[in-house]
Amino acid sequence: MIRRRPVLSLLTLAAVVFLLFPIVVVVGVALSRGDVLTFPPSGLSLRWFGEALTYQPFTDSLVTSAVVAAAATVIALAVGVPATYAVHRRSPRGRRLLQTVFLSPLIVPELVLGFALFQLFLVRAGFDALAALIIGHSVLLLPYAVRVTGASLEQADPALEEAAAGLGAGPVRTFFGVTLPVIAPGIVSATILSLLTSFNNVPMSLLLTSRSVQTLPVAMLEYVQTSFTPMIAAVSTLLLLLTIGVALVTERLVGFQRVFGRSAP
Amino acid sequence: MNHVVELRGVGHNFGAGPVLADLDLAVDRGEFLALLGPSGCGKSTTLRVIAGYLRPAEGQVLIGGRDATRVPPQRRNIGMVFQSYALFPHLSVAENVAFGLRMRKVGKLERTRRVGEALELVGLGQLAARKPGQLSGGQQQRVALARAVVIRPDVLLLDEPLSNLDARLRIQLRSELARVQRETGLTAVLVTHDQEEALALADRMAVLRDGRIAQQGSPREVFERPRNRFVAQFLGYENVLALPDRGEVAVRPEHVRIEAADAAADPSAVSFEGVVDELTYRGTHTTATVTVPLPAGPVALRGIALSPGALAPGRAARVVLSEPAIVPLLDEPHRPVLEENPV
Amino acid sequence: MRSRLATVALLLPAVVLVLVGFVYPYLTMLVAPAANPHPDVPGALVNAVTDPYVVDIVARTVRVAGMATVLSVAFGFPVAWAISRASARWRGALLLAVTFPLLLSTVVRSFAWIVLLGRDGLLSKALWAVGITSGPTQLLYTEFAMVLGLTQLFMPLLVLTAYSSLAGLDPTIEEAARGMGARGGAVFARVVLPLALPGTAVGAILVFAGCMTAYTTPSLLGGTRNRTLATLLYQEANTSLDWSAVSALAIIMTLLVLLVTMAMTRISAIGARR
Repeated sequence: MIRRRPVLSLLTLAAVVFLLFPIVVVVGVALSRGDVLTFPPSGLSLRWFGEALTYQPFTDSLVTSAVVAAAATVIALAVGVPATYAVHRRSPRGRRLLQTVFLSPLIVPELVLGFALFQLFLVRAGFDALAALIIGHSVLLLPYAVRVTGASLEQADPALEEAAAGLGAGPVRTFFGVTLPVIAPGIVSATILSLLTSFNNVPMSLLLTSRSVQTLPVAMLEYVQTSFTPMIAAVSTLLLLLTIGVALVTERLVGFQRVFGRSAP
Repeated sequence: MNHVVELRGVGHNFGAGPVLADLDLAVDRGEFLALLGPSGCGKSTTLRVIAGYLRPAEGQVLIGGRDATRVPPQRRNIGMVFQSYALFPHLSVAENVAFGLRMRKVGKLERTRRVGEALELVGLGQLAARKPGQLSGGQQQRVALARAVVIRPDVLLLDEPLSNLDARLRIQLRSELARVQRETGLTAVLVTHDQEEALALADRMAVLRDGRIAQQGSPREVFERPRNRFVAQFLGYENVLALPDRGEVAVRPEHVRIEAADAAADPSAVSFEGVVDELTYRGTHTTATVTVPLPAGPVALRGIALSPGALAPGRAARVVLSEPAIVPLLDEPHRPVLEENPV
Repeated sequence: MRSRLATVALLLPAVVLVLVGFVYPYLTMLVAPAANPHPDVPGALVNAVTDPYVVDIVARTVRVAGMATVLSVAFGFPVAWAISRASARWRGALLLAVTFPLLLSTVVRSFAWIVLLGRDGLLSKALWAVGITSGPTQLLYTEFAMVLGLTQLFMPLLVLTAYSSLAGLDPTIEEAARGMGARGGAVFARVVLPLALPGTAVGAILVFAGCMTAYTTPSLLGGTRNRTLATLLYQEANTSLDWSAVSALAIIMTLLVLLVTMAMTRISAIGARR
């Protein structure tokens, strides 16, 4: 390919560099010895990693992000998988309407949804920010859960469930013994996608904060806008390593392309 | 009453119209019944009604003498083999076959024994630990059969089980199927669109059309004595025509001779003069289609051209029907009929 | 009967979640945000729409989003085309390279530009060295920086949707065209492009909508002097007590995205029909 179309290859290379170079910059800055944000860094050191790991706003918000991501993913799946099952296997009336309803959170800008939740749950109802975050993220993740497991269900042979019934399995037995194992890869994909989407989310989580509650990306954003040290790059690099780990695990479990291949909006 | 399965006046609609209409069917113990018909005739629907996946809008379903119309599939004692095999991909072959026994709370020892027997019966003893994904189509089909048979069902239901296999495998598995049914003595209902399959396997055959039974009987009865135009044509009696004083009859192309118009005529045979439409070379023989003017209108008849050299499209020819091969369609109205005012 | 009940039971929790976490908050925002005793959202809307400050910000938002979308398509489509024609080995690696950034949070992805575009950043030094500028220049906190950041953020999205579309094309169609005498360029323009257009258009719409509602990149790279709707909304939500006014901004953003999405969908449908 490179030999045959030099211009196109060059363009592709330039695009890849354009997309990936920032990662190199981030890692480079994270390894800076000094206090200034420069690239290439003047002098190398691991000190900022140490600082990042002990900076309380980061460690606290990391816990918050993890809790929110886990809780929201569990809720989105616990609520979304039965709903998807009902839509695909039990042909309720208004099937298309239901699909639209479950995918609707995707149409609205996340920031707007964040504000809507903020004014209702935080300002008016006085909820804890953590509760509002979990509700908001659950709503955000529901479309992913529904869509990914839906695709898995559609691909599965509906005769499998009929076969189980014919052999004597009641609806519950069939669901847990046949349906769930068959769509397991879809559920795993949905889980990984949901965890990552929630963890990285910025716009919705921006307003849903309180004195003690903040997600990690929001904490990072706040830091970047007030302080100009390489610590933010160190945190970013740690997150980068974590993401690479997730990508590897995904590849191992269900295949990278399967989860992230078709770009989810 | 020896009927294992009985359908009484079963009817059902699917949006556009009736898919089953006043269907009466009975299957005796140990009998192998084949449901045959073109796509959309309702044969699969009938099977699903027997299995319980579909509750009919009208009528009754009786299994083992008891009314099962309201009973869900999991509480009927049926063994179904699906066209797609529907093997559980996450379970091994042995676990697949054991599934129905588990649901019936059969103890581990007996379960293992019966699973082993069933796998031996279909010739897959050594593949017990494999997963369905690792098996060929033919092997998967046998596992599906073993899984349905091991639970000792009241009736074995087969929904086009061999349609997904290539021709050679189909014939091979067909005889396997016959053997298994014989050895287990199970009552079986097979749905197929393949005539040969029905004729080879069935003790009794029912041809369906638009949700009703067009004709039923032993394969020989139905095949050699079709009673109406639909069944005749479905079974390959391409030539259906009205003979004076005899009404509607059907003749297979194999029993029709197409000769040159000037060949010596046989006074004992029924023959017509007509014009050749086309000749088709078939390897072992050549067929010819000839349009023949009849009192009710021109009819195209197809037969075998013994001396194809003497024939050509557009030229005159004679169509000779062999008398023993003329089958009167007993259920078709006798024509010509005096024009009567409809009541 | 029992079956119908079971189906409802399976669907209910999801419906409740959508109602409680999405529909109800949205409705209250439209009508009476933050339990405001005297809400006047329609009035605030009129105010906002006629406020030149807001109009200016909306214009910037659309402008920046538009430019980023154009760049994403201009560079992203050829890349998608290249990937679809690459050998299997290259294809996998390229797709991975394009998809991976999407797994990172926007803060991580936009941060590098802060370092590169500052007064003492690499780009400033490079321009100086080449002679285009006569000293260090502040490229940060400009619309240029925002467009750059947004393009980098959303280009993978376009590459992937365009690639999906291109990969789905039947290669024998191109062979047929070539067999009928069309040369490379003509094949591309008359066969490939029209067929890949609908899929790519969908990608472009997603990119545009994303750029218009993005917060992180405009916030980090645009600064307070270059506000977009998103950054304005955030600021007002945090500082203003006039909830109706904030709601009005949120509504404007939602309507804008909906309008643009529908318009682009309509346009691409017309284009596809031709």
